[in-house]
Amino acid sequence: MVNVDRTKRVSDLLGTRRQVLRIGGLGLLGASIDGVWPLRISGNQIKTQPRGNARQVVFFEICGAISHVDTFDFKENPGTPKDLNVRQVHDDLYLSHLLFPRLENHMDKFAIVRSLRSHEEVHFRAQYYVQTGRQNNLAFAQEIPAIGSVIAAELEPRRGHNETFPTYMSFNLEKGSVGGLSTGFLPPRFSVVDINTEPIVKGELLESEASGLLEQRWALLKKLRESERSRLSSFGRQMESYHDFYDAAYLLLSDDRWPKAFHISEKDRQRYGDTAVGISCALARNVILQDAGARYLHICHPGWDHHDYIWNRSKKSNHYLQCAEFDQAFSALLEDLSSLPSKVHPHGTLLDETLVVAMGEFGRTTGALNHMEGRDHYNRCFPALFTGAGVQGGSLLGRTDSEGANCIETGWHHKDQPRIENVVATIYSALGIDWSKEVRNTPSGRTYAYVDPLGATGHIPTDEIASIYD
Amino acid sequence: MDLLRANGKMGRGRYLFHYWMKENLNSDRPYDEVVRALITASAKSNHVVASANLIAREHIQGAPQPQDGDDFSMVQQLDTHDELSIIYAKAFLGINLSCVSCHDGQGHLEKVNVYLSGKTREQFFQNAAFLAQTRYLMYWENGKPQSGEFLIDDGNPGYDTVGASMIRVPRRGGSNQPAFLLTGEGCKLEENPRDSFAAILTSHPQFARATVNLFWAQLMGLGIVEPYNEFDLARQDPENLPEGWPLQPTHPKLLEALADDFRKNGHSLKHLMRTICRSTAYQLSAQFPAKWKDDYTPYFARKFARRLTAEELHDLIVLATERPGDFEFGDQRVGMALQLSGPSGDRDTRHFMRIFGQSDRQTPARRVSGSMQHPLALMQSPVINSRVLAEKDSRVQRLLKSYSDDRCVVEEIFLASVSRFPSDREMKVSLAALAENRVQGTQDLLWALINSVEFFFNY
Repeated sequence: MVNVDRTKRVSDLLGTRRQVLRIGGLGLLGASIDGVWPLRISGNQIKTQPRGNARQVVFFEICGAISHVDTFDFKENPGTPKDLNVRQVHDDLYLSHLLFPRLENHMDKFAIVRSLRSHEEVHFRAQYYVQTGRQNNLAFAQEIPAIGSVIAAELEPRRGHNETFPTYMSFNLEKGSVGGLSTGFLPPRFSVVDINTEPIVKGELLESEASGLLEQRWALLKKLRESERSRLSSFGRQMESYHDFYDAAYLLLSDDRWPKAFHISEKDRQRYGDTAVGISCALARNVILQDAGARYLHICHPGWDHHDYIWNRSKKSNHYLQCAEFDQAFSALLEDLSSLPSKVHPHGTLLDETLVVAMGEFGRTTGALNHMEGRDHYNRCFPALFTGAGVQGGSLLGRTDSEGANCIETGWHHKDQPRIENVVATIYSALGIDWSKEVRNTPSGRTYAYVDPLGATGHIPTDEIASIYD
Repeated sequence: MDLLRANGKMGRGRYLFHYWMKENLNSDRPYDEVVRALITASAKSNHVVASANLIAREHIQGAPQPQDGDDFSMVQQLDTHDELSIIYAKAFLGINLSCVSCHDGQGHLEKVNVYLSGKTREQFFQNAAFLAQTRYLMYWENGKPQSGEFLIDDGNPGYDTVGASMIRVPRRGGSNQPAFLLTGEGCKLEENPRDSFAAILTSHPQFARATVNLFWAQLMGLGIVEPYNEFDLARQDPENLPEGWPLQPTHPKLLEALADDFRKNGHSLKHLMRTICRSTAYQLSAQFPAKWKDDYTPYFARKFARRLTAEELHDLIVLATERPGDFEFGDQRVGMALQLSGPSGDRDTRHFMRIFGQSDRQTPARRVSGSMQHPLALMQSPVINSRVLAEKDSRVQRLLKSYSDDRCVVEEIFLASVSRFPSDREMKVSLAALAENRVQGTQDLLWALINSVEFFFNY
C-alpha cells in the first residue's frame, strides 16, 4: 500500500512545475488557453480511503458494446446459437467454450460485476461517459478533462526523473466514436498520447526506429531554435509552451525504452493475434514492462455494435469474429501480466501491481434477437470485469434476472446499481487518488468533482466498488 | 462547414452542399437569405436540393431499418425538431439551448447563463414548434437506409409535448404553440411556421450580433463574446447588469456597431470580413512593445498567435514541400485539405489531421490544446517525412537541381516554409548542414523548419 498522507490537499498539486501557469484575466472570458493551474482543490467532504494498490491501470473498452447475455452474463435465450458449447466455469458463471477457449482459463482471476447501469444509450454519449465519468453536458464539455488527464495531473508529483512516457496513453482511442478528449481545464501537458496500431499491424516500421536520422535532424532543429527562441518568446505563452512539448517529445523518442515498447516479436503476433486489438494489448504489456511512467492505458476495441446478423459468420463483423479477437488478445495480456515479475513486489507479478478493467459502454438487448437478427442498445444492466492489484479472483458480484434484463442484486453495499462513476472511483482509488476532491477554479466557475455525486438522474453514491476486493 | 457540421449524414448531398455554400460565399449572397434558405428548405431529395442538407444532417435516426413498408419511424421526428432548433440557435444566434432542451433553466443555469436560467423547457418546445410540421422521411430499399437521402416536406401535425424521446429525458407536456424563444413572437396564421421562424430569427438583432462575433472570433482568435456560441443575453447591456455578474462582451459598443454595419450592408459577409481586416486591431503585430500581462487580453492590444487548423497546416506543408495530397472528393481528386467538404485521405493523413483537431463534424467540436502529441506527429508522421525527400518533383528535388549556390537553396527553403529570409546565424547553420551532405542537409533543413514553432502558428 502506498502511504497516503491525508493532510496533503492543495499542496499535492503545487510547486511541482517548473513554471506555474496562471490564467489571470482570461478566466472572466471563459477562455482558458493554457488550462487552469494551479488547481484550487477541496477534498475529503466524504471520507475516502484511496487504496493505492496499483501502479498502473489498464482500461480495456469494448467499444460499441458487447452483448452481455451471450458472454459474461450468459443467459440462454431464443437467439442463442447451438454451437456455443456453454460450460459452467464456477458457481453460476457460464461461458461459451467456443467463443472464449483461452479466456475461460483466466476466469478465476476476475471479479465480475454484473449489475452496472448506464444512463446513456447512444455510443457517443456513453463512450464519453466512460471516458470522463460524467454526463456529456454541452455547456461545459470544453472544460471537462478525460479521467486519464486527471490521473496524469494527480500523479505528476510522483513522476521520477527517468520517466519519459506520457502518464496517459491510449491505443486506437481515435477509432472509438469519441476519440481522445482534450484536457479540458487542465493544462495541455496532461493530454493523452494515442497510438494508432495500424502501421504495426501491417508490419511497417515505426519512424521512431529510424532514430539516427532523428538525432541528426533534432541537432539541426535545436541550433535553428536557439536563434528563433528569443524572437518568438514575445508572441505569447501558447507558442512558447511548444518548446517544452518538443523537449518532452524528443526525450521520449530518444529514450531507448520507447522503440522497445513498440517491438512486437513474431511470437507475440501469433499469441496476441495480428489484429488491432492484439497489437494494442501487446503494446500495453510492453509499455508496462518498460516501466517508464505510463500509468493509465486505455485500449479501445471497436466493432461490437451488432444491430444486425450478430451470429452470421458471413458478415464482415460478427460476434464469433469479435470474440475470437478479444479472446486471443486479452488472454495473452493476462497470461503475460500474471507471469512477468513485478517491479515492486518481491514475489509478485505485474498483474499484482496493475488493475485491469474491461467493459463495454452499455449492454445489448436481451431475449430473442431483433427482426434483423441482431441486438440493440441496452443500458439497464451490463457487466464489467476486474482483475489484478488485489482484486479477489473468481468472485461474482451482482445478479440479473433469468433474461439478463433487470438487476436483482446490486453486488455492493448500496441498493442502487453501481454506475460508471463508481468504476471511475475504483480506478482513482487503486492509483491512490482521493476521489472526493473537487476543483473550484474551473473557467466556468462550476465546481468539478472528481466523481460527480449529482449523476445524470439525481444523487448517486460516489463510492468505489469495494466488493471486488472482498 | 464545421459550424454546420456537414458530413456523411447528408449522404452524397454533402458535395452539393459544399459547392452551394462556396457559391454563396463567392457571390456574397446576403447571409440572412442563406440562413432562411437553410431553415425553410423542402426537397424531394437532399441529393438534389442543396439547401436541404442541414436539415438532413441533423436528423435523429429512430431505427436501424424499417419495420414495414409504411414505417416513417426511421427518423425520430420530434427529436429531429429539437436538434434543428438547437443547431439554429447555436449557429445563427450564438445561443446554446442544449440545457433547456431537457429541463428548465431555473435551478440549473443560475451560475452559467443568467438569461437562460429564466427560460423553461416549455419555451424550448414552443421554439421548436415552429419546425414541427416539417417531416423527414429517410429513403430505404431492401430493408436498408439509403445513404443519407431524405424527403423533407411539411406533412407533420405539429409538436407533441408529451411525445417519446430517444435522446432526452421524457417530455412532460406544455404548450405547443410556436413562440420564438427570444421574443415570444408567434406564427402568422397564413404563413408556413418555418417561413415565419426564419424571418423572425434573421431579423432579430441577435442574429447579426452572433454572426459578426463569430467572424471576429475566427479572424482575431478570440470573440468579443466568448465562447462565441454561448451568449448570455442578460449580460450584454452595461447599464443593466444582473448583480454580481461581469459584462459578457469585452467591447459592447464595438459589437453593436459591427452588427449595425453588417445589417445596413445587406448582411454581406465579404463586407464584414473586409471591415474587420481593415481595422487597426486586426493589423496589430503579435509582438507587444512592453511587458505583456494576461489582463491585457480582453483589450485585443496585440494579435494573438494562433495555431493553424489541421487543414491549414496540411496545406502549408503541401506548399512548402510542393507535394500535394491525394484526396477523394465526390468523383474528383483534389490535393488540398481546404478544398474538401470533410475529413478524407489516407490513414496517415487522417490520423495526423485528427491529432491537430480536425472536426469529424459529428461529435461536439473539440478545442484541441497543444500537447506533446503534436511534436510527436510533426517529427514522425509520413505526412511530413515523406514530403521533405528529394523525390517525386518535390521542392527539395527541384531546388537541388536548379541551384548550384547553396545560399539560394537555403533562402528559398526559408521563404517557402516560414515566409522570411534566414538570419545570418540561421544561414550559417543551414549552410553547414548542406556542406556536410547536400541532399540530406536540404531535406533536414526543410524538416526542421516545418518543425519550428513559427511554421505552425499564425502570428
